[in-house]
Amino acid sequence: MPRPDPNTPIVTLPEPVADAPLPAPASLSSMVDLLVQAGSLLLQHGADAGRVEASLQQMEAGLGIERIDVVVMSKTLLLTATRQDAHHTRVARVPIVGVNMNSLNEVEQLLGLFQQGRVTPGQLAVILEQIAILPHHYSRGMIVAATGLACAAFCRLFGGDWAALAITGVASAVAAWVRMELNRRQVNYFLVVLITALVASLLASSALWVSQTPQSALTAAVLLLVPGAPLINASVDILRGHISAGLARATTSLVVFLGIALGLGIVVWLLQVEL
Amino acid sequence: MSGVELAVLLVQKGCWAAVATLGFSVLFNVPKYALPYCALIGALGYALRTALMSGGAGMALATLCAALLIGVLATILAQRFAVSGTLFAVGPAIPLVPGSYAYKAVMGLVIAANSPEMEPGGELLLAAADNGVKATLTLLFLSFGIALPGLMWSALRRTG
Repeated sequence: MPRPDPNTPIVTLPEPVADAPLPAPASLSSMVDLLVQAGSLLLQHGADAGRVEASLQQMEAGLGIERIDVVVMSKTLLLTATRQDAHHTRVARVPIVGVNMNSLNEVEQLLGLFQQGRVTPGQLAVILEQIAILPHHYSRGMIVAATGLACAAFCRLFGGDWAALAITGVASAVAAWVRMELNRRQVNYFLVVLITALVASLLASSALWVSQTPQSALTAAVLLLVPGAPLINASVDILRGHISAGLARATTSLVVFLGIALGLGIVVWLLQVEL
Repeated sequence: MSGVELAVLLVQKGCWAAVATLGFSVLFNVPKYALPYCALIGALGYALRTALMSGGAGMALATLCAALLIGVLATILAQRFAVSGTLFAVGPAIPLVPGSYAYKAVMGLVIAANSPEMEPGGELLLAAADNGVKATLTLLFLSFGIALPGLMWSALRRTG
């Protein structure tokens, strides 16, 4: 079993060549840029607000900053760094790309090393940029297959028979591919959910003719859309007191559920099924 | 249900939950070395919830216990690999998310809003509210249970 060595930050990354040129002494604004860069990476890959805040405040000593104040919202970072009598503030919009545990992990390992003084601020900026363009561990084909397999497993957990399981697998795999394509074209998130739910439930409705348990196929095929990670993040945020970030995520999740219900509801109404 | 039947059911459900966990972990780009652990934790968590619920526990409480188990196991593994605990916790949590309840709640509201007048007794709205309350509370317990072991561990380390 390959056990990652905690002393090497990123196994998949080449060694940074040298200290990148950073104006010396580093200006406050370049430090704020660095903080925003790290915070954005964490937020866009699915970290909860408390985790982003804690990670950034760990960097105070390493950067020689007296105080870092961070406000984390669902898609925005507000950050002020204070040093002696100077302070600098930035507001950054963060595009949300979805949960990516590998990137989160790499950033946290890197910040840990930085806190121990093993990485200089210049190296930090270089490695953060490398993490930002790190490719996904798994190919698009594998992700599509894995999503199909996961929904098929859910169908079985709901008591579906083998025919329903096979149809669920195919329907949700196709839906996962459709969602990827729509997201790449930057379609509005509600439309993405609605179209994906329609595709998944239309394909899954073929179970009506071949399976004894078509309901399990219809309910399981749309499960790839259930916003599990944002919902967990929403309640973690609320429990830790980051109410506005948590409420924003909860509202987004509610809208996603509405889209799923609407997509599935249209198909159920068209085919006059009893769910 | 006899003890043997229950054991078989738990193993079956655990295996399918492991497959579901694995699928979502791949979607979340969990590194390869962590995948077997995620699958195992997901299976144990789901089996524990199934066992508690077949023993008569409500879904919210059973989910809390399962989530605590996931949180403890993820925190232990996180210490061993010197990574953050969420790496091992988010994938296994997904099969426990009360997706079908939340979906039924929203679907019930849509049907209630679409019917021309309120039916006598308000059964539809009541059912939607019931599903909504169950989904919300289960979800809160789930995230609380997953987060608690990690929070307690870091508090202990700071004072100890």
